[in-house]
Amino acid sequence: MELRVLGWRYENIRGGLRNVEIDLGAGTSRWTLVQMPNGTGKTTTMSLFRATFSGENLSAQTVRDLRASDEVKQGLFEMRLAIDARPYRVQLRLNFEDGSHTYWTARSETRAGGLEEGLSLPTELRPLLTPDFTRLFVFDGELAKEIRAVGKDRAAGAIRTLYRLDRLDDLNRQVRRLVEAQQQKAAAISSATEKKGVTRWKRAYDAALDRKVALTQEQRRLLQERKGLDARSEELTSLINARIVQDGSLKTRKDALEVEREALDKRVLNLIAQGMSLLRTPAKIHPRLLERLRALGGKLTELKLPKTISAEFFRELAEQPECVCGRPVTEHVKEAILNRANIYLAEDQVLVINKMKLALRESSADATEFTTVATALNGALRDLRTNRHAQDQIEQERIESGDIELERLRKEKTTNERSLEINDDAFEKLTTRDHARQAELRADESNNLPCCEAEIKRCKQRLETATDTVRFGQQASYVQKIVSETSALALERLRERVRLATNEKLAQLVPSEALRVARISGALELESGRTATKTGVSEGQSLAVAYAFLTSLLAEAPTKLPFIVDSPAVSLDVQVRREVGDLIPGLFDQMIMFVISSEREGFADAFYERENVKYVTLWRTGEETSEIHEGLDYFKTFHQVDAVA
Amino acid sequence: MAQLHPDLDTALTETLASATDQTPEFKRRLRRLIENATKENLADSDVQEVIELAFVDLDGDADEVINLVDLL
Repeated sequence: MELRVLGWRYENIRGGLRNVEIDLGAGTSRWTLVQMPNGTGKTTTMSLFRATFSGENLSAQTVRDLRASDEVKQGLFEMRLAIDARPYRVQLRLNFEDGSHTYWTARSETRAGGLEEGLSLPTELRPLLTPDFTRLFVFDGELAKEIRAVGKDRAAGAIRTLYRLDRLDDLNRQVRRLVEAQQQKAAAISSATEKKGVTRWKRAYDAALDRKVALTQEQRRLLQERKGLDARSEELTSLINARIVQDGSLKTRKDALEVEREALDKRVLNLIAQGMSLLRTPAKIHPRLLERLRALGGKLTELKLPKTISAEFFRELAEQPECVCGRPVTEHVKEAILNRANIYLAEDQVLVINKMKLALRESSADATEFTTVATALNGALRDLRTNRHAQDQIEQERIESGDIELERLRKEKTTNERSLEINDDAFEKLTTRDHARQAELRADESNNLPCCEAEIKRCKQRLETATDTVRFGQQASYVQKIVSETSALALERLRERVRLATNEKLAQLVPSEALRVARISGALELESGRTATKTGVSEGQSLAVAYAFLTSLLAEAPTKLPFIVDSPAVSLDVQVRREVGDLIPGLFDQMIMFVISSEREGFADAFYERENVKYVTLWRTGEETSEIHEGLDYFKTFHQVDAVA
Repeated sequence: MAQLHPDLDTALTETLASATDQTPEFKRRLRRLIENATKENLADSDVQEVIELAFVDLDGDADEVINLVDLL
């Protein structure tokens, strides 16, 4: 990506910048030298560039300090940019009355290229267009000192930003957000987002599985016990009957009662079957239900066929010589069939609706039928109880006549029946799936198989959730580790690359001093030929180090930025100035340099022989007016006493 | 495909080379993710897919308590 400055414009800005526009032209020169005497707004222009690039929040006092005169209420600074050859206009609008300011952007993408409020430059540039980073390429002389100040983290920070290693930090933050989202999602099901949670749920799951094994064994034991009790029950019944039949009159009564009981058993079974069958036809249960079903049927009158299987039927019918009604299928009829087919076609779920309609149509049964069957069943059960009582009476009479063995057998039978009841109760508690019964019987996962199976399912789900969350967390940590290691390794390589390039340039700029960058940690650590760590450096050396570093840093960066600098050589002695003048021009694709006339010697004159240089001279002609001249001749010969800035 | 700066490219190659327990698919996708990350904002789904491709051994240190949030 490449960012170039095409020009800028001032309105009502202090320093005589009332209505001044500098146009670098469509084929923007690689180097622009803007000669401005002191006091004509060089520092102001640099501040305006920095603010407008970064969208910096300016204080009300800063805004008011930019005011050209008390008469003006509003001011403007506008940059025209080309970002990857696409034009942008960015404005900083100043309200001198209330001290407020706003940024506006016009992009080629916006409708009619109109201005929109806000700084809307491409996202990719955002990390570079911070107030801090902007100071690197809209060069702030103070930065020359900060780059070497321990703890400022300017140097390493600049490398990270410029070479997009900070985007890897963004990636790691995104990974972290995903883990947190997964954990929050999992927390709705389980609090187990840690390995100990996995262990806890694994133990709970294993314990539930063990319980199920024990409960299944208990189920088998109860079934076995039940089988034994049933067998003994039949045996006791036979033995008791054998005792009864020893008395002829009792046998006759007993046989009659048995015949009656068998008939009653059959009747009861028959009535139960009828009742169950009627229960499946809701219309036959109660008149109120029948009434409601008919009302529902009335709402489902339209006939529709399932589209998937019936569409073909209409197509084939249209091709037949005769219709289903026997009339010939003419072209007209064929067209009508094909056109109207859709009226009778619906989504496949219509099958269910059709079945419902059929069932509802058949809901014309006698709604009292179920009541009749239920009443008959009640009567049959009552008769069975009476029969049973009569049989007991026979046994009692036999015992009273002195049959001790029968008495013993009856007692055993009673005990056996009690054991069967206990077995039934235990089996029901162990196996019932009815939630109401489970609650009544105080059944839970420790004594009820369905509850235990539900617990296994719950533990399994939580275990899986916890395991998945932990796995995802560890996978994410691993990805972060790789990204961080890559970032650290890349930073190390980039630091070394920039350090070597910086030292190469320093060797040219200050050959006598043998000033070198020993290390780029947070800041630049210098060494000279004489001392391992060099702390005291002159302003000129400091500037030379900063230039060497910045040019090395920016030269190979993936994003090509302009380099804008104010008085680049003023604090350098003539020799270093010449070196800077020789070295810097080749390092940037666009340089805008604000100079004063004294910098022409040794610095600006290094450009005179070059092509692709634009020369602008801007000076103040009065309190509120300025004049601009373009061209080398004027630039070279301009003379004005620099005012005090 | 986004072009990485040579130093970043070398660093990534070295790091991935040391990840011997990871699949070639994971390495390929992570490289592409990093390439794209330096250029544009990434969709969560793209990042998630790459994370899920990473191999981790959950059986090791089963009783160890790891607070993942602290690790990140």
